Amino acid sequence: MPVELQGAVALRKALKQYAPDLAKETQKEIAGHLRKVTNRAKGFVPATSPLSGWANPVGEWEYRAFNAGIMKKGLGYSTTPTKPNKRGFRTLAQIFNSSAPGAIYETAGRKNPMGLPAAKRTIAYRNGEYVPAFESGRDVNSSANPYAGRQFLDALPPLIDSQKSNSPGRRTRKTKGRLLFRAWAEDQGKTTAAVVKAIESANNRVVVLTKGAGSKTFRARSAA
Amino acid sequence: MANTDLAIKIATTLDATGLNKADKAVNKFTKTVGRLGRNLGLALGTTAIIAYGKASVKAFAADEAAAKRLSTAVDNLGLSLSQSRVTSFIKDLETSSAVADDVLRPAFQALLTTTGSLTRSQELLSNAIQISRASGIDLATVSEDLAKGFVGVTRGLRKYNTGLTQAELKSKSFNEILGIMLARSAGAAEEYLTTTSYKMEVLALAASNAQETIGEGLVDALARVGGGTEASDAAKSIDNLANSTSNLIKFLGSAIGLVNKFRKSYTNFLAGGDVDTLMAETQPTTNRSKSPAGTAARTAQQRQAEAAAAKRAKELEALTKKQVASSKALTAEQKKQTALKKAGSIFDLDQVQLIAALKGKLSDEDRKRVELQFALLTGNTNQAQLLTYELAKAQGLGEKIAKDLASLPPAANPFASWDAYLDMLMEKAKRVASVSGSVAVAAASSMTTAGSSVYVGGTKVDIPATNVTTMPKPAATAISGGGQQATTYVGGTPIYVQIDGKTIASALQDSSLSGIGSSVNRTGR
Repeated sequence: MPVELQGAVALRKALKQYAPDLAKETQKEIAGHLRKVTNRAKGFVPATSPLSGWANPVGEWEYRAFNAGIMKKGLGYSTTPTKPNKRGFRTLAQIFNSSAPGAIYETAGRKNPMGLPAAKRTIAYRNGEYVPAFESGRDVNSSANPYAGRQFLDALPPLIDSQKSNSPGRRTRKTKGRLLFRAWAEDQGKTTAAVVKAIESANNRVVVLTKGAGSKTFRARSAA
Repeated sequence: MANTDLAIKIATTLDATGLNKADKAVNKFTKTVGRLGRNLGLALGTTAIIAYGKASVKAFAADEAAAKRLSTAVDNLGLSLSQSRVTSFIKDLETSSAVADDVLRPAFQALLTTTGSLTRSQELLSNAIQISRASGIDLATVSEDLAKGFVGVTRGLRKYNTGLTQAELKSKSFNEILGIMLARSAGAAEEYLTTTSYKMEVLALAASNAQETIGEGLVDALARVGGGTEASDAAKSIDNLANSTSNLIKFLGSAIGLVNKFRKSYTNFLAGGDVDTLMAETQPTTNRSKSPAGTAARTAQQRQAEAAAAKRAKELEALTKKQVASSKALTAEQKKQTALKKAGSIFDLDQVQLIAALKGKLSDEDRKRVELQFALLTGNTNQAQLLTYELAKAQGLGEKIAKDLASLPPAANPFASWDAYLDMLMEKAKRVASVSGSVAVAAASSMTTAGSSVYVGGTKVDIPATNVTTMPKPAATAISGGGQQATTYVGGTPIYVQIDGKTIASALQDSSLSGIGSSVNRTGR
């Protein structure tokens, strides 16, 4: 659950206008805090594939095959504010896992903890006649091995929930993972506090630099 | 860029700039749409009027077609002079029952063509409305069922829950069934008149009639616009001249309203009062007779039709009765045939068996038995009595018993003779008991002193001196099986009586095994 900062947009404008160096420093300071988390996440990437077959870049798995380097590269951070979403919120700082194999390793088993159900036999209408076929799509396991999903999950470490029972916000399957979310869970909110503190200190310094021209409207609170 | 699902957002902020812009844009759009709607309102209203006009024309066309069909049916039944009566009946019934004439006409037509009688059809249609209100089944179905029932097809009347079985429905006349149905639905039509549903139907009916009336006017007007006189011309005109007629209709609406107002005022002025009131009180007359024109011919036509209908109804009734009677006769005949067949088969089986038995070699007694069975089967009582007597006699019974058996006395107690036998056994037992008592006393004296006293059961008994002397007791002999040994001295000679228990047990066991060799051998002898 992110922290909502009020007046952050105005602060950013003020920083760029009155203290561009301070703006860069603040960005760097925040990035330093975020880098610690991503580095910790990179440490959770295994050196070899949990299942040897996943490492074969064949067919449609060419860009999804296990590759520790790609997975580590995909773990990053951003301190550039995003565009507003449909509710008008902009993200000021975030960490992400953007690679395909990294996403698989991060999220496998979130939706189906026992693996996808095996495809069942069915009847399909093809070329004007009904023919026997198997179910297909994203919701079924099309492998010849009906236990493929479960065996894959058994080879992976367990999912870690980044949300604690006493932390604000809901705990859903989208807050669980093996790399980024695990690192964030182990961080225990220290990075959040450091980021907020950095922004707050930058705001205070802007107020001092502008001799009170800027207002101290900036404040942080947990987003609802 | 990071995947939003696989990103942890650490700090966010609300940037409402875009939302404010969006709000402004939406408000502007709403205002624009509102203006557009107001502008389109007129056009849309015109479209609605055109659509209503088309629907009106269609409704009028359908109504006219139904009226024509009914008219043709009435003509074909030879009741052409009663057309106006039929029309007024339908109109009155529509007003009183709030059932649209579109529904009434086909229903009435179905009944009229079936019954052939105007009065009977009118009566049945009223009944159909009552039954329809009570059962909730639509009038068309009810009238069709009644029409079918009138000609004897009562299968469709089952759904009205008359409580009659299928057989009863078939056997009862239509009038009887109708009477039951009317009794069950009595008051339903009147009750319905008080419901909101009826009031709504009245409103809907009024609107429907208004639509038909408007449709009629539109057809005339638009047919002229289309350059013809038929409804088809009007329909084409509506499609082709939709845009131009929208204005025309609006104008006509206003104009008709004004003309109506003017007409009524002017007519009232000329008449010197309210025209509607004056018209309601006056009746059209021919000035030739007191009755309306054509009354005699019409009534004659009706009488003729009624007579034909009555004749047909009688024929139907007679036919139904005949069918029921023939059905009953057929059933009785079938029953009779079944009974005869059954009796015949029994006769054949039993008699054939007995005759076959008599043809074979039989002992005298068996032959008599078979002959007795044959006599009983054929109902020959004298022969049966005689044979019973002879059979009993052959079995070795006494003359008297045989006669008694032959004359079938009441059943005697089979154990009656046991009393005498048991008495005899008891007597013998008493005698044996008395003998053994004297032997015991003698034995007792031999063990004591002769001529002395002996105590038996605590009572002193004096024993006189006898020739039985006391002898030394012989040495005990081992008797297997728990036997008994006794010694008696008769004339100084000792008599030894030994009873071997095993021998007695074996004899008893053998007698109880019914002489079966394998069973006898099990005693081990």
